[in-house]
Amino acid sequence: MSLLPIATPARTRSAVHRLLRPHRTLAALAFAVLLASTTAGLATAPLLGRIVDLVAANRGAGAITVPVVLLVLAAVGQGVLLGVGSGLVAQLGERMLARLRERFVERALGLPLDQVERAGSGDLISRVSDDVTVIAEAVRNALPALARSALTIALTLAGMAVLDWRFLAAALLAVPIQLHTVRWYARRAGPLYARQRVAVGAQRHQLLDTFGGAATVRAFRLTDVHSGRIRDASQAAVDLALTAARLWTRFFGRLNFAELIGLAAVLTTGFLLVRGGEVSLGTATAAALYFHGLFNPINVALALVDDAQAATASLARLVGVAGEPDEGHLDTGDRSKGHLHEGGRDEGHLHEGDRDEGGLRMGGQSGGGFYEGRRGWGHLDEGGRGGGHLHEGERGEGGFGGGGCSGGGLREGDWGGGGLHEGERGEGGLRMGGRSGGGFGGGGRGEGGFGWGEGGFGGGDGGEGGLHVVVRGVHHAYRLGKEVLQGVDLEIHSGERVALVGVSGAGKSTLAKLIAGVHRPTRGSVRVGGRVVLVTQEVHVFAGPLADDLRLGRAKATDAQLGDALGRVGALAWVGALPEGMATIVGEGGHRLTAAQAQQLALARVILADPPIVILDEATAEAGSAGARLLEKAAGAALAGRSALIVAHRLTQAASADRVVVLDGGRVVESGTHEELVAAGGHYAVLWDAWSSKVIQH
Amino acid sequence: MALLRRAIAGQHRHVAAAAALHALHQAGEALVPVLIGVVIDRAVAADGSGVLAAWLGVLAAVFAVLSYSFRFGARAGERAAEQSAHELRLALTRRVLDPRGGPESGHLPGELASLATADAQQVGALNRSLPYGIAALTGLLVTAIALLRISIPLGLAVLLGAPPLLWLAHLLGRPMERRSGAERERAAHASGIAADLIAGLRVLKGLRAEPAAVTRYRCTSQESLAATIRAARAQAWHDGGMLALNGIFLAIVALIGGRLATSGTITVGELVAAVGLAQFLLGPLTMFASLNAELAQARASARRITAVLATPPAAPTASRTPDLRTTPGEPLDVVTPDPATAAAPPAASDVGRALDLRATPGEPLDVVTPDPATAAAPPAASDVGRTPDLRATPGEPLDVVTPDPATAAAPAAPAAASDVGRALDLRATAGELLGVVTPDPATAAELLDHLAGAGALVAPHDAHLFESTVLDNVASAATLDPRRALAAARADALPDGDLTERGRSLSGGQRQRVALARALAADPPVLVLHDPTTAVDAVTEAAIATGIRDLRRARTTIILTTSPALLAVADRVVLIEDGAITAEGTHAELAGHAGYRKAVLA
Repeated sequence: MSLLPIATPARTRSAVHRLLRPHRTLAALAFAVLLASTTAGLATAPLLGRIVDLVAANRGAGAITVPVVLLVLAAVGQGVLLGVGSGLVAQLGERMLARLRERFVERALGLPLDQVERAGSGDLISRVSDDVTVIAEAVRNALPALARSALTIALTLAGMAVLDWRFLAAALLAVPIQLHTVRWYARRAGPLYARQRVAVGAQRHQLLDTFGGAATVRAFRLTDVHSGRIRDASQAAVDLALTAARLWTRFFGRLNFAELIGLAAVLTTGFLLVRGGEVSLGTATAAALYFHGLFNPINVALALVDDAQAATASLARLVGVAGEPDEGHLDTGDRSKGHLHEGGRDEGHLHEGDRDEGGLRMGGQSGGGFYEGRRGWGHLDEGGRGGGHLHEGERGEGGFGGGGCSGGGLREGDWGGGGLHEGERGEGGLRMGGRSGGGFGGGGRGEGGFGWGEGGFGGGDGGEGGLHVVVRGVHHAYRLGKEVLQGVDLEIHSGERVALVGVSGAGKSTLAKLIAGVHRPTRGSVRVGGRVVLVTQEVHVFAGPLADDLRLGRAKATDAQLGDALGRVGALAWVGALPEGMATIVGEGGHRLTAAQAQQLALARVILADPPIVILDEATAEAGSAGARLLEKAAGAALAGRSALIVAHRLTQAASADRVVVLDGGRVVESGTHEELVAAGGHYAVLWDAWSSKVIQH
Repeated sequence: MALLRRAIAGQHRHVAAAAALHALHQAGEALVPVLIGVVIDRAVAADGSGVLAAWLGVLAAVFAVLSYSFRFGARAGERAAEQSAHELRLALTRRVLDPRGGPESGHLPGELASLATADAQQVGALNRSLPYGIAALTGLLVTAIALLRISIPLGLAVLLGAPPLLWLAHLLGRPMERRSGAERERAAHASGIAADLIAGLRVLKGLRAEPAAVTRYRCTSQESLAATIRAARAQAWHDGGMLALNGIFLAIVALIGGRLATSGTITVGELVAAVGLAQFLLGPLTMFASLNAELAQARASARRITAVLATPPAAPTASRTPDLRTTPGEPLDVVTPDPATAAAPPAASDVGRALDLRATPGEPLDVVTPDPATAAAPPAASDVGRTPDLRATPGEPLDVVTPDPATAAAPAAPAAASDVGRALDLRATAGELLGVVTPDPATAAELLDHLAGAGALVAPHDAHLFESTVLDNVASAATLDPRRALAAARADALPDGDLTERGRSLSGGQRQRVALARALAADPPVLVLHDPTTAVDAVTEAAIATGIRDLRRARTTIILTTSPALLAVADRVVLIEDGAITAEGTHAELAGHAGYRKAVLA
C-alpha cells in the first residue's frame, strides 16, 4: 500500500485543468493550426479522385496539371502548418509538464519528513523519475500523435460525408467493432500493465540490492542465492512482457477485422453508387482512399489507449503529491496576497528582486505557477525588511540578491520572511503564515515551522536570556502508546556544546529530530532561538558540481568562502586533487566520494549555512575509526561559535563537550560536565568506565 | 560487435520466424491498395457484382494473412527481444558477482542496474526490430514488382524517386535530430536531478535547504524546458518537412500516372494502385532509417555492457589466492604465489611501507585448531572452486590449499614489495581474539585484502544489508543458529520487519549490529571484522564485545578497530604503525604506550 496520496480521477482532471488554464490561448492556437494542417491534408484524396475522373473522362493530359499543382500546394501547406502546430502542441505540453514537475518537487520537499519516512523515499523517487518519464513520453509522443490522429479521423469522416453521406455510413460500420475492441483491451491492459510495472520495479530493486551489495554477496558466498533472485525477478518481468505482447497483438488483430469490414463496406457502397450513377468513379476512388488513409490514424489513436492509461495513472500519482496541500494552501495563499497589498510600498523591492534574481524571472516564464510565486516574494520581501527582529546573522544573509539559477539566492530571505511574520502573530499564526509563503510553495511551507521558532524567540529573547534551545516537558510517540520520550527538559545556552549520551533506543535521535523541527512533540514544547541545522550520519552528495552541493548551505557563497569552509573541515586537499576541483561533478553519475568525504562536505555546508544552532546526530559514525577522528575534527570546526547538540557514540566527544546529558528510557537521567558525571558515579560513569577506565587504571 | 551478434544468434530461430511472418504481413499490407485499385477497376468501373464479391473475398483472405502473420510475428520478435535481454541481465549478474570482483568498483550500483535493464533491453530490442527490417525489404520488393508490372516507367520513377527523397529528408533532418538528441538528454536531466534531490531529502531537511533546492530545481527544470521545446520544434519542422516532401512525391507520381492513364498505357485502377503503392513504399524505407538509428543505439549499449563484462578482476587478493598452510607449532605461511603481484611496486597509497603478511618457518602466523568441532567444520555452504579448501583434524596440520593447480604450482616468489624493509608478521592462534589497531586506512585496507585472499571471511565495515528481514539477512550465510549470532551482536531485540531501502529503516548502529550478527552467524574458522561497532553506543558496544568473545571462543577472530571496548576483550592487541608492528600486548598492557593511547584513547 502506498502511504503517499494518489489523486482521484476528478482531482487529476481538475489539476490538468488548472495547469492548462494559463495556456488557454496557446492551446486554442495550436488546435486551430493543426486543424488547418489536417484540412489541407484531406484535400489529397479528392484531388486524386479528381485526377481519376479526368482520366476516365479522357480530358487529355493537360487537364490533370491543375489538380497536381493543387496537390503540391496542399502538401506544402499541410507540412508547414504541421510544423507550426506540432511545435505549439509540444510547447503547451512541455510547459504544463515542467510546471507539474516543479510543483511536485516543491511539494515533495515540503512533505513532513515523518510522512516520507513512513512511506519510504523510494515511492517519491519513482514518482518523480518513472512517472514523470511516462508522462513526458505521453506529452512528447502520444499527445501530438493523438491530436493529429483525432483531427485526421474526424475530418476524414467529414470528408467522406461530403463525398456522399452513404460513404460515411459505410465507414461507421467499423466503429462498433473498434469501440468494443478498445473496451475489451482497456479492461485487460490496465491491470496487466500495472503488474508489469510492479515486476519491472521489483527486478530493478533486486538488481540494485544485489549489485549494491556485491562485495557482501561475495564475502558471504551468496552468489547462487542472489543470481537466483535476479533470474526469478527477470523471468517474471519477461513473462509479463510476453503476456502483454499476446494481448496487444490480439488487439491489433481485432482492429484489422474492423478495417476489413469498413473497407469492404466502402467499396461496396462505391460500387452501388457508381452503378446507380449517383457518384463518379473518382468519388468512389476518393472514398476508398480516404478510408484506407484512416487505417494508420485509427491504429495510432487506439493504440494510444495504452499510453493514455499509463500516463493517467502516473499523473494521478504526481498530482497526488503535487496537488496535495491545495486545500489549506489556497486560503493561506489568499492571506499572503493581503500581505502584499499591505506592503505595497515594498514593490520597489520586488522589482529589485525581479532584476537580481534569475529564479524570479524564470518563474515569470513558467507561467501559471508564477502567480503564486510572486505572492510569495512579496511576502518574503516584507520579512526581509523586518529582519531587524531576527538575529543579525539571518538578516545579513537575508534579502534577495542574485545568484540566478545556479545560485538560487533566495533562501535566507525566505527564512527571514516566514519567521518575522510568525513572530508577530504568535505561534499558531506563524505556522500558517509560514505556509503562506506561497510561491515558494511546499519548500517554503516546511520552513514555516522554523520561521516560527525564530520569530518567537526574537521577541522573547530578553526574557529567556541567552538560551538558544528550550525543551519543556516533551513527550513523543511515533506510534500511539509507545512513548519514546517521556517528559524531557533540556536547555542549551548560547554557544554551549551539549553531548547527548545514552544506549540505543534511549531516544537520543528522536530528541534531536524534535529540536531540529523534523517532528513535532506529541506533548510539551520545543523552542528554538534561531535556525537549526541537523546533520545525521546519512550522507547524500547532490548530483552536480561540488560547488553547487556546498551552495545548498549558502546560495550566494563566493568561491573563496567555499574554499574557506572546505579548508576548515580539512577537505581542501582532496577537493583540490579532484579533476576539476570544486567544479568536479560529484554524486550520482559523477565523481564518487567516500562516506567520510561526503560527511566532510555536509559539515562544510553547515559552516556555510552558518546557523546559530547545530545538531550532529552520530554524524561521524559512518567512517571507520581512522576517518572518525578526522570527522570529529571537522565537526569541531563546524561547531565553533555555535550552540550545539551532539548525539555522541564515542565518549571522547562527550568528554570534550561543555555539558553531558544522559538519556535513558526517554528521560534525562543525568546532566552535568564530564568531570561532574564521572565523579557522581551514575549512568555516565559506568559508560565511561566501559570506554576507558580499564586503560586508565592499569 | 560480438555481443550484438551473439544476442541475435542466440535467438536466431525466433528472429527468423518473426522476419518471415513480418514479411508476409508487409506483403499483405502492400496488397491492400493494389486490391482497392483492382476492385475500382474490375468491379466498380466494370459493374460486376459477382466480380466484386470475388475480389472482396480475396481482400478478406489478404487481411486474414496480414493480421495473423503480424500477430505471431510480433510475438516471436517480442520473445526474442525479451529473452536476449534476460540473458544479458544474467550474464552481467554473473560478472558482477564473480568471486574475482571488479565491475562494481568503477560503477555505481544504479549504473550497473541500468546496464542490466535499459541497455540490455536496447540490445534485445534489436531482435524485435531486425525482423521488421527484413520484412520491410520484402515489402519493398513486392511493391517494386507490383509497380513494375503496372508500368515500367512509372515503376522506375517511383523506385528511383523514393530513395533520393528519403535521403533528402534524412539530410534535412539530421542536424535537427542530432540537436534534438542532445537536448532531450538535457531534458532527461531534469528528472534525474529531481530524483537526486528527493533521495537527499533527509539531508536537505536537516540543512533546511529545501527552498534553495526548490529554486535550483526550478532553474534546472526551466533550462530543460527550454531545451525540450527547442528539440520539439526541430522535430516538428522535421515532421512537417517530411510530410510536405511526401505529398510532393505523391503529386509527381499522380502526374506521371495520370499522363500514362490518359494515354491509355495503364488503367485507372492501376493509377489508383500506383498512388497507393507509392504511399506504402515510404513505410519500408522509413523503417530502414529507424532500424539504422536503433542499430546505433544497440551498438552503444552493447559497448557499455561489453566493457563491464570484460572488466579485469579488481581485487588483487583474489588472483593471488595465497597458499595458507599450517601445522601446529609450525608456521602459517601467507605468501603471494603470483610473482607479478608480489613484484608489483607498492600502490601510491602505501609508499614506502608495503605490508607483507608473511610468516616463514620458525616465525609463525599460527592458526591451530585444537577444538575438534571447529576443525571438522565444513567449509561454508556455497564454497566454489576458487575458494581455498580448509581441512583439518585435531593435532594434524590445518592445510589451506588452493584446489587450483595452476595457482598452487606457481613459484612462491619472495615478496619484492617487502624489500622496503618492513615485513609484517601477524600471527593469530586458533581461538584467539586478536585486536589490530592501525591508524592508517591504507594499511588497514591492504591488511584486509591479504586476509581475504588468505581465505578468511572479511566482514566489510560498510556492510550491505539486503532487502529482506533482519533474520533472513543473518540466516543467509549462517552455519550457526542465527539467533545465537543475533544475541551476541545484541541485535536480537530489533523489530523483525522488512528492511526497506537497504536497511535505512534501521539506525546506523542497528544496521551495524545486524551486519555483525550475519558475520558471526557464518561462523568461519577465521573471521576478520573491520570497525564493526562505530555507530554503536558505548554500553551496547561493551556488551557486543563480550558477545563476540564468547561466541568465537573456539575460532580465530581478528578485529581491526580503535574501540577500547572491543580491544579490552581481545586476547592480544597489536599496534601497526607505518606498516610495522610497534606494540603488542593486551589492551591494559598497552595503555601506557603513547602511540596506542593516541590511536585508541585520544
